[in-house]
Amino acid sequence: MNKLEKFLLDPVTAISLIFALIRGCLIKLKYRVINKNIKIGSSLRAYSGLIIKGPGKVIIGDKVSFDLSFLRISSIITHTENSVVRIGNASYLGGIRISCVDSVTIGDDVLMGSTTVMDSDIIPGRLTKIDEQWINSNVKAVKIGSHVWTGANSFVLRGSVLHDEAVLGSGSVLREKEVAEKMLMVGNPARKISGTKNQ
Amino acid sequence: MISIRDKIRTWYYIVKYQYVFRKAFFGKNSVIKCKLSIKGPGKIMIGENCCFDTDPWGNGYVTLYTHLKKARINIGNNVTLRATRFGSHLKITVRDNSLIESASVFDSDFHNVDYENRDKDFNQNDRKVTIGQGAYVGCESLCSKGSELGSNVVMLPVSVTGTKSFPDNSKIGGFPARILRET
Repeated sequence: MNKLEKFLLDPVTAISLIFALIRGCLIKLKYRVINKNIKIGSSLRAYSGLIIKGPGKVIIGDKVSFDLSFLRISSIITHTENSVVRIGNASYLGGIRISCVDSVTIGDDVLMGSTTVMDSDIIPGRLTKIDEQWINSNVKAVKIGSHVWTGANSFVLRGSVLHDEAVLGSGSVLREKEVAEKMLMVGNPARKISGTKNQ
Repeated sequence: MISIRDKIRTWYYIVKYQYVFRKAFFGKNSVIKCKLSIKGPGKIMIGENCCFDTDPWGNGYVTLYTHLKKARINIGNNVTLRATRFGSHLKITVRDNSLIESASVFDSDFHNVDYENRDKDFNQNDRKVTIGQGAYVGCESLCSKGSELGSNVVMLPVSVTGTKSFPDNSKIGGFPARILRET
């Protein structure tokens, strides 16, 4: 199918995509000027704003799209200079909120709707001192594989691992647990329900 | 360290709520970095060196609502509130050095269970809420009526206390909250 034919078939999405690409370019330019630790790949699609704060490293892959969800602007906060946030290629993140002390890794082709990702129990405030003892007792890295889907309003808290093609139901809370490949977990605290393939 | 914008905002809210409306009393050196909304006939006491802030991702605002004339909200010194919602019929106490994320703190059910009296006798079965010294309440969690957190309690995100009290130095979480680790 020709690109022009695609445009004529669904002009609204095409125009919104063009606007998102333009806004993505502007965001990329802004963070290139402000902060050297932030690296954003090619063709960022920003359907809404994107807020990145803090001294840590943020690495975003190609063709990542950020969207508004539940009126939440997607935002990424890093707390120390050693903290690293990695986001893979071609993933769709709607209204995601990331708070990172140690490391948060998100794979390729991920679908996340208004999810909160935190790798510490306590979000450090103005009075907390971040030293080794505090990090050992409160922080554990979060890993999210590729082709993962997390539902709306779900929470991925410290020490949790989502393997490839795993699904986390909406409103569920995952903490210090693993979701195996092609499994579905739901609830607070999250527990196994079924596999993701119909057999 | 405090920006001029925050200083102006602090002056504005202190003049508005302490001198014009006479609902809240602010201690020395308290900083307001976000929108603050205070409503209702009750009284609110705020200690020294308090900080009212947005949630870490930069949205939301602090609300301190009292629904009856006898309702009180007491906040100690060095407390940080990040987009916390308070709703009071009786008494809510927050002790010194504690940190509350974008959570809700209620000391009442607000309405009757019975349909016909739903809006009439809503001051039944209110119970006080206390949050101890140095306690931490995680984001999106709920301190419901009658809950008592001891000092240095860590309440994990997205947990809900029933009408329970929790001992000092414990770590609690879940829905309903239970003690995960006691030290």
